[in-house]
Amino acid sequence: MKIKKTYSIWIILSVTGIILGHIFRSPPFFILPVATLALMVVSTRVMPPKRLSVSIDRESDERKREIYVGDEIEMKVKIENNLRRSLILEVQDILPPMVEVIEGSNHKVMKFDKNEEKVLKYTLKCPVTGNIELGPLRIRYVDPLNFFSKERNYGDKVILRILPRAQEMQGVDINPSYTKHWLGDIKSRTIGVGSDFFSLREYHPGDEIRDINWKATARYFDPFTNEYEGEKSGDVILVVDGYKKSMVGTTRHNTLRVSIDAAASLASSILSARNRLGLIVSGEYVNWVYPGTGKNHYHKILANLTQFEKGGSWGLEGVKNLLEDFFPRKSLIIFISPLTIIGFTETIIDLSRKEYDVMVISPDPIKIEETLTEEKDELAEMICDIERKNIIERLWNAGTVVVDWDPNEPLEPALEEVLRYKEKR
Amino acid sequence: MNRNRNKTLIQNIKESMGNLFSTNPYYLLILLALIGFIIIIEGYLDTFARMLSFLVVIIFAYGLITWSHSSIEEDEFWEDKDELSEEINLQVRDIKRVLKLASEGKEKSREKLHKRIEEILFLKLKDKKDMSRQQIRDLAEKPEELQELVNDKMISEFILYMERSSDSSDSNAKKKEKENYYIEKIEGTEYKEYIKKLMKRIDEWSDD
Repeated sequence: MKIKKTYSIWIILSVTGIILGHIFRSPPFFILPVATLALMVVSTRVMPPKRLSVSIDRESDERKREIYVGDEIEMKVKIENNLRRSLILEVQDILPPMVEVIEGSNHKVMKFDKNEEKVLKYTLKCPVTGNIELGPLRIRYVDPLNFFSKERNYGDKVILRILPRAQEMQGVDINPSYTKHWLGDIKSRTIGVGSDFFSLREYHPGDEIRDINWKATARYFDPFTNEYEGEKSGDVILVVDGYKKSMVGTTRHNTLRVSIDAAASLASSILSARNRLGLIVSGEYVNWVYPGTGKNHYHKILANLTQFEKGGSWGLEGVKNLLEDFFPRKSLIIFISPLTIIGFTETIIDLSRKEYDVMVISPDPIKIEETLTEEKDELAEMICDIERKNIIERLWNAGTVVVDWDPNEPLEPALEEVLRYKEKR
Repeated sequence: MNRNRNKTLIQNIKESMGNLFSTNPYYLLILLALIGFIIIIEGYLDTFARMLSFLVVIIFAYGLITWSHSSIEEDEFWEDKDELSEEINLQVRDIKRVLKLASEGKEKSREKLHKRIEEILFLKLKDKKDMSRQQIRDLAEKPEELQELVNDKMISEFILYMERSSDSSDSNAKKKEKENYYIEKIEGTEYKEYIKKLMKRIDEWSDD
């Protein structure tokens, strides 16, 4: 139980009154302290109960829930007063800073009659990805005279997973240069299993009837069969740079968060083209997912991406070793990095010189910073610009494809432009 | 065994008495007794008894104030924190700050800024001339060759200056040599202009 300062002040006032009354032998000096003492005696009747007996129940048995970034979720917490007296309680469901309450309130003052049950109801949404903790529920009893208070936390924390939402990238075909033998969407320029016509050949016994080209057969009086262009797929590995020094911006909008959103969009596009997709995120620790396909795998990728809202101390050197030791060779590696550390350039170049096809998608940190600062400094901006320009130029000259992306704009047009340029080159 | 049981009994009595003394009716009783005591003493007793009652009031007041003070704690105001606007690693702002200090002649800031420019320069040389950092450092020992390779007086002078700056020996000759460089002598707008010009040269520099 906490005693407020006001209670102490009342005590001092009444005692002073008694002493003064004693000295001056004056009845008014006695009336005041007697009144205040009476007030304090009354206040002891509304002291907090020895145990705040309250039970709570979150309206879901699931300990873990998932929503996509920007989605709304309604939270309901049932609170029951188990005491045989009425209580006025201040109730707050503790929420992390990144959460926005859009309807109702997670913080209320509620009056409970004996054994009464009430519901704290609110709707929230989270503008950023990550695992967020909701709760515990904080309850505070304050007496009507505001002399005493008592508070306690109830219930466990509930984890809510905010998954990144993938942007549509229909116009972008990210295809690995090296394909594997399994079926996919990449045209292999060789005869194989596919749907696009490639050439004609004479019919061989065993060819399917539906593959016979009836027009050619009629023209040459010999059966001819259609051949198709083989469609294959390959391995793509997304590497997200979660190095703490690479994080530029604010907690809400920074290079790591936009990298995670970009990775989610790319993952969706790559997997829908039937490629195998792997993931490495270097943050507080290096987290990786071995290449795979399918919806479950996509969900696994998203779940792994949500764990990194804070940057870590793992640089790209550790990632390079992991790639070389555990991931399949001849994969397309897509680095998503703001390229703020000059030292990372050589690591990326090292990989591109080995049996990897390397692409860098770089959210421009200067563009993020521009939205935050009102006062511009031409020289400081010039130094940062030249530094970035040099890194990108070095990577291009070393044979790496770099997408210089303004994170305030969608990724698709920037990526499309670079891929078109790469094809021409 | 018996002693233990007796102890427990005494403890039980003590505990129940303790509980009794901490109940609300107990406090109510004490307060009412005190009020009655004061009124009676004021009305009927002589000077000595009044002095005694005064002392009792003081002792009681002292106890009450000490008790209430011992557990005084103000409640914090519950509010949701907004940490989303916290700014992280703003590079342009950082360079702006360093530039300001460097132009005022602050040595550490100059060192930091020059190191950053040197990194940019090394990357450019690595890209255009395929020269490692060590090769450039070795070349800095032969200024004429460096000048010939870089083909830009301002850039080669900056490389030489950085080499002299990184020299850890405390010899006076080296210090004097470093102080002779133009960049060491300038401050304020002149320094900023110099850095701007140097950056432009680095940006435009190529091996052709």
